[in-house]
Amino acid sequence: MSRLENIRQYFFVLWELTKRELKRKYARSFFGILWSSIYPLLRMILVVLLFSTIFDKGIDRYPAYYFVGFLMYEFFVTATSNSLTTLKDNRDLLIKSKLPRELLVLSRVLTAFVNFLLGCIPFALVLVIYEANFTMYYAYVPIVLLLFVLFTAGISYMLSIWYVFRRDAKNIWTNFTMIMNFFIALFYHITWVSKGVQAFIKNNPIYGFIYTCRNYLIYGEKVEMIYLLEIGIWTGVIFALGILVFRKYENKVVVHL
Amino acid sequence: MMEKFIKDFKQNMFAIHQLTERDKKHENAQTFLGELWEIFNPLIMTVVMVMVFSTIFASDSMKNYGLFVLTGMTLFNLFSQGTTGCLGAIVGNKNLLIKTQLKRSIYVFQKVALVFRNFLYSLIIYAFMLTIYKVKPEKEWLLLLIDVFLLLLLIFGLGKILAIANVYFADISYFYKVFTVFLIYGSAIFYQVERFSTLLRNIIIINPIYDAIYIARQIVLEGNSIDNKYWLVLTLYGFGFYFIGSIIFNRLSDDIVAKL
Repeated sequence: MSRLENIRQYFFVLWELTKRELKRKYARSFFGILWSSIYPLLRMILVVLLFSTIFDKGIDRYPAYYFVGFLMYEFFVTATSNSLTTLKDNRDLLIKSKLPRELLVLSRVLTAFVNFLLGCIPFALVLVIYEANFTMYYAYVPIVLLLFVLFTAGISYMLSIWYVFRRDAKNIWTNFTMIMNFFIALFYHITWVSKGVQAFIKNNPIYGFIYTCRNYLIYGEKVEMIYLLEIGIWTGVIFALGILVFRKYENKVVVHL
Repeated sequence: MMEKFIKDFKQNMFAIHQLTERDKKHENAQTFLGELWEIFNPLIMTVVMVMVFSTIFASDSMKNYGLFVLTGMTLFNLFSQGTTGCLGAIVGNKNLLIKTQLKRSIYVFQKVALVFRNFLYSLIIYAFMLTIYKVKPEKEWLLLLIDVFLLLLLIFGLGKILAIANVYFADISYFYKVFTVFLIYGSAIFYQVERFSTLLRNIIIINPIYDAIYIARQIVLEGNSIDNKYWLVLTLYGFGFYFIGSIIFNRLSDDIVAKL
């Protein structure tokens, strides 16, 4: 079989798995897939209503500012926490089929990404309403998002293995992401916190991704080289590490499932 | 009559105990670390919020920002964990519901009791923090018992409604997630309401969680007398939800088995 045929098959299976996940996700829900668009919008409105009165300093185009960060972080949290249990959830498939196991994790990341894209529909509207600067920088956004997906996938690979060995990994991760929520300058501006926390946030790759997208999408400004380097390096390291860890342990975990 | 009452009581307590033991074993693979987290959660969240927000908010005429947040977080945690637990009280006990004759409200009560136990542990941490900040107890603090009791009534009543609603309408868990996140922001946990406009300051009083937190802060931190309207609103919510919740629960919980 040719190499090309292999890749085609790989993506076919990936897409089938993703469709399965999507169907399962919305099976019990009344609003179904619509929810993916409504939820971020609802969250944005509630948060903006509140915070625009609490924070007197103000942020330029705050609704859009919050929306980007929220969508991206929500994608990260959904993708990683769903991937965490992948290997356990697909126990039968793992034992019976010769499917590349990475695909199972990747399909969950993709499912979350589809969700993210649906959330971008109301976001586009907000961008128009708040007159975002539509510039050449928009062309870079897909690249940043691709890096973000790879970064998320890398983390997801590691988490899926971790969960097999530690049953409370899910709890730990949920709480970790909840705390992280406060350290990515999601609903406040980074200059409002103390110097120490600022340094911490700046070194947080997730903030790097959000900051880059914000600048490109809303303010039409160029991003400092240091952030671009940061997200590039983090993505490379985490993705490689994820693959390595996953390949090393994927056979060993079957015994533990 | 009395004997029957005692016998029922003993049986219920036994059931609650068994359910709790099971929850510990199954739910989210509850581990030692997980339980510890639930107890330390208010403290950890307080540390996080103080780190992030102290430069923005602490400069306001506030003495102990840490205690201010911790008081809010401890009560909020009781509410959010309690009601979220109740949400799964019926759906999560499907098999038991069908097979046993146990009184249905026990399932909800057990969730509240479990969270209340964790809350009591959290209070040990709270007491420790009080000694660090050198706050001395006064006899007015007895009012805190009423404050917590009213909050518990609200949790139990709302929990009953949520438990039933979850059977008919699975989306409720999504909505409730949104709601609790919003509530964390809308209960003035890490900021003072003085930042609000007068209109908004009057609106936030209809949030019973804020009222419960406000009362506790006034008693412990400020030592001020409390405006009766806060007590009134909290009491109305507590008893109101308790009665409405019980009525809805009793009406609907019989038909529920068919729906599950």
